[in-house]
Amino acid sequence: MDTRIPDTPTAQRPLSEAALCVWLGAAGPGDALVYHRGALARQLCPQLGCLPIEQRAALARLANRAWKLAEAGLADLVQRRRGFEDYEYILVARRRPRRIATAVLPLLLAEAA
Amino acid sequence: MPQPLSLADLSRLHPIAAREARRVCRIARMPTQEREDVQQEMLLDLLGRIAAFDPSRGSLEAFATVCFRHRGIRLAERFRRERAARDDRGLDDPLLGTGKEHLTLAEVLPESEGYAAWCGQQTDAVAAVERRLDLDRASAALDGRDHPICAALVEHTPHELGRRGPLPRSVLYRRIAEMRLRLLAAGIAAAA
Repeated sequence: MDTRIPDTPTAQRPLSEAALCVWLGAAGPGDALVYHRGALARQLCPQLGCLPIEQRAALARLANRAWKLAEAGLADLVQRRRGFEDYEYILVARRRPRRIATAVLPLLLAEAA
Repeated sequence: MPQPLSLADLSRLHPIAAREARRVCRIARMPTQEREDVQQEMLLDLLGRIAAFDPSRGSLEAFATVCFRHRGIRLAERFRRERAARDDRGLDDPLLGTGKEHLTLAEVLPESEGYAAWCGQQTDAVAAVERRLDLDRASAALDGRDHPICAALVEHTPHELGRRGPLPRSVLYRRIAEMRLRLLAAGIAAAA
């Protein structure tokens, strides 16, 4: 299992879904990670064929995971334009919300018993 | 081309191997139940060395005896090393030099070096509480529909759950992968 905190991804070593989650798990509020650089909409389009199928699928999973993390309120997604069709896609960690619901773990253990 | 051993040859060598095995067990003070294993080890070693047998230099029995003796020496040395590395004391045996109180080995061994720690159990109470709090916080990151799966995984493996149903195995593993990622994002890494 990959539990290393990843550096900014490069073309040779793109970030994986698990690495993104590991980073967020260890990040403090305000920490930012460039999880992709390029043009996501263009690179994810199957008709344009910018990337091989495997790389496109991996990038789609990564982008989808970043979106889900933002929807869950754990991070914010921002972009920085570097040039024509050259963007940095940045994930900024948010402060984790206080847990206001009752503890779930005892319920799970009681249900298992 | 070396001649393979015939059944007649082996029937002549078995008593020699048994005698040498008894000798090794007596010298190395090995338990009686080890004798058969030692005999088999000797015969196996002989089979690997039979290519070096030259009938013009001596009989098969003499060659086998020398091979058995050499193998027996190495087996005895290995057994002595293993025995020296073991500690035959029981946990309730008193320790020397502990004065009038006669502390036992169990009382001196710390929990971090006990059997539970070897099996990977948490022996640090503070760390156990912290882990419990972290898991409690992370369990809020799980989807509600995954709670029955988590409860079932306490007792069964994913393979067994997939066989029993109602969720197919592919869906089950997909849900587990999703749970793993959510827990990673909540700061809970896998224990293994």
